[in-house]
Amino acid sequence: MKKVLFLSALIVIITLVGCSNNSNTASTGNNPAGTKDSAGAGSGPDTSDKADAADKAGNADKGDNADKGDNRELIVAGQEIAASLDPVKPLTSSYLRNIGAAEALFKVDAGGKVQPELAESAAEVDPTTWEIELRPEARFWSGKAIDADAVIASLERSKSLDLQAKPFLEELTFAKKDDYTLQVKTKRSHMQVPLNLSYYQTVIHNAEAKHDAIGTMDLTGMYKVVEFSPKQKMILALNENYWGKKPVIQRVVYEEISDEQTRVLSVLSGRSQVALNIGTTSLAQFRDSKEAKISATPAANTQTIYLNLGKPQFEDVRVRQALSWALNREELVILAAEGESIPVSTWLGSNPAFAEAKNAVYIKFDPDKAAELLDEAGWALGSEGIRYKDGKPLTLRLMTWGGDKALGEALQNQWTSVGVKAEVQHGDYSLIQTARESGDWDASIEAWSTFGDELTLLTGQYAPEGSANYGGFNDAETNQLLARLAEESDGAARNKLALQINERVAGQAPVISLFPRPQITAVSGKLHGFQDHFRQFENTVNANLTLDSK
Amino acid sequence: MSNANHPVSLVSGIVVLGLLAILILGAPFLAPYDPVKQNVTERLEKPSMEHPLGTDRFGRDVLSRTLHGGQTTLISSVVALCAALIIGLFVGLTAGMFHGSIIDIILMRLIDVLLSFPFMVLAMVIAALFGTSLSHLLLAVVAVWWVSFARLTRSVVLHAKNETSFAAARVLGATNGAIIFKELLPKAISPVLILATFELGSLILSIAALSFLGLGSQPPAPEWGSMLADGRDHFMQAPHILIGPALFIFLTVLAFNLIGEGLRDRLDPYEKTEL
Repeated sequence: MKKVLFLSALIVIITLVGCSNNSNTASTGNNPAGTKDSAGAGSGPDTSDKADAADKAGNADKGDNADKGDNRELIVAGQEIAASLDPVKPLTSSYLRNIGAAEALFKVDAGGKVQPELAESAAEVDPTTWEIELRPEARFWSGKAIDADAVIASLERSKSLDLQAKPFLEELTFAKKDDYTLQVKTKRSHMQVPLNLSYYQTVIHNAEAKHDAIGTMDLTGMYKVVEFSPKQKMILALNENYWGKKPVIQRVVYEEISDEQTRVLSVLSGRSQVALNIGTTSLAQFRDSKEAKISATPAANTQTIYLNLGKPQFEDVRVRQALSWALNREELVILAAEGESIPVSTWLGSNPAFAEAKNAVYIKFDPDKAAELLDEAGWALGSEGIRYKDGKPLTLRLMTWGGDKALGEALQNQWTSVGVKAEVQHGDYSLIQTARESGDWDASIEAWSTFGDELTLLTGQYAPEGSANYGGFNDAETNQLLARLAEESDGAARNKLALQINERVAGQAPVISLFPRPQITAVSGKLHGFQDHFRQFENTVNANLTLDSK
Repeated sequence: MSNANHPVSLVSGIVVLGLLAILILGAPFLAPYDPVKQNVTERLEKPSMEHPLGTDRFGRDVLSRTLHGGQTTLISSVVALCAALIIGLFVGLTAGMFHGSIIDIILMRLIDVLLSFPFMVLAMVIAALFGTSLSHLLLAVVAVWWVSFARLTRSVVLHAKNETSFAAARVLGATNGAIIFKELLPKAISPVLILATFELGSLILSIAALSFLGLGSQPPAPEWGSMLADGRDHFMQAPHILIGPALFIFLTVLAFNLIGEGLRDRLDPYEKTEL
């Protein structure tokens, strides 16, 4: 009896403590939500719960930003922010450019066209020489002029200290023609110098500055860094001396929230206005949200299956083609990308500059064609639905990593339906690397960028010596086309040749292209002027962004 | 009062386990759908008459996957437990029989090392070296799970060696093998089996946890841990996906713990004396 009484008392105490915690939490969570309501933000019960959750995640200090309701402050929640302020440190320039602190000589617009940024114009003088005009009015934050000397010093510093900048700068030699004109010599003919100088790795910074603290860094962007906690938070204020159009929003807070669900809750609660890197599985939470909407832009990279051509079953081109015909890409987009991408059957198809390449080959899902090709190749369908040749089953072990497990399962299902005994091995990327080194792999998934200099990209993927030619593709016709592309100077002809190579490779199917990896950003309904861009990670902030007052 | 509870634990555990066993082993006949068949038009459906536990992101019936997944989880757990039990008994009997010898010292130090080594880390190392698969997962589990059986067996053997029956066997000239198999093994079996019923619950949880981390069975095979991992991505959108595997894990572990408790109360002489 005593035990029963003790147990009852314990339950009552626990219940009371629980209720008291709930009421505390509710009041904490309702404060910002209540303020927002009074400001006319109109949050329902769900929203206040989410605000509560976001506050619990340790963000309560900033919860009133949305209620300021003007253009004073924009909060961007990123999966990761810089660990350093020096643009030559790994990925730092990417974060600095993303948030409007750093600029390069050129930029790429949402349509994939290269546009001047700190440069005023560029012209190819001869096949190996370019001249770039600079903007005399442009200044670093310190007031120093961005002249030819400063630009050369910046680019040379990036070239020597940033390994990631090397691919874009190592074949270029810079010289001063006059104070505001830069001469660029290239090692190869007809290199696309403005494109090379549009990458975040080439942002212009004052090479004489130390870049080891807020006071010693010197960049050119419309926002200046005024507070920085590595891997936590970066606060930026308007650069009053900015050479270009001054942004409307006065202050930007860029903070690291590594957990995806917390980023989602942060933007849904109105605590932040932009949340980067949202997963496809979180999309449903935005479906009925009035607080935030989704910007899902296919990135300029293609989810691609790389086949190991050293494996006997993939030596026959008909087998590889059959694997491609057997895929229902529309369905893959739904199953693996929640519908937030577009089917692409050739590798260059995800590049906005080659939009016509999207479905140039394998126009539609055709399992009958796949079956026909496999029959022709001698792989006969066995009684249990698997194809055999010389007593051996047609097997394929697909190695996946990261967020590609669902894609792997969907592919497995589609290949199995045409008689391929497909197996998915999901694990760490190091397993794929080890397997590639040993040659013990059948297929793996990668998503390389398809935006950049056509020759560099296509050589890297399909030339015998290409660093991303994992499967050992070596096709005489492709090699010949690549050689022609290297010699071609005319832009239109280069474009045509690139498309030809792209189609040839898709036809030979050493790789199987699926769809561009979706790039999802959650944007508050109060934020206007946000631009969808295939390189969203470096185009989050722009001068035209405004925030609703209510 | 407590004595009356003992059969209740055992009986209720057996009843729950029996029901689960019928559902799981009868999955090929009871499951309404093919557990691996994808149906893109029926993705993430809520529980309904057609799909009592809803469907997952591939449109697969969660109930069918849960029932079939139980086979993977239970069979792999039982296989791992049997392997660990056999190794543990062998090592424990050997160490106990040759107590104080170099064999005993080496085996005991090996046990100390394994006890201090987190098996999750071992499982991850094995997965990193050899790849992820259910067999590698079981290898990692067995590699450390035998230790508790070995220690228990050794302690039982040491206790049994002080008994007159052991001395009598020695005096009568019984060989070491005969003493181990006819004198010591029967005495060790009961406590080890009781321990095994408790360990099976932990083992199921561990295998599910490792599969949850992606170290276990590979797609499209259903397995409770990996089903939970897959469902986690859709927790906000379709929380019902998690109900099936979570409920079955809970009930299975509960059933084994109840059975273990009941068996201990019935078979453990020390427990009886204490009560």
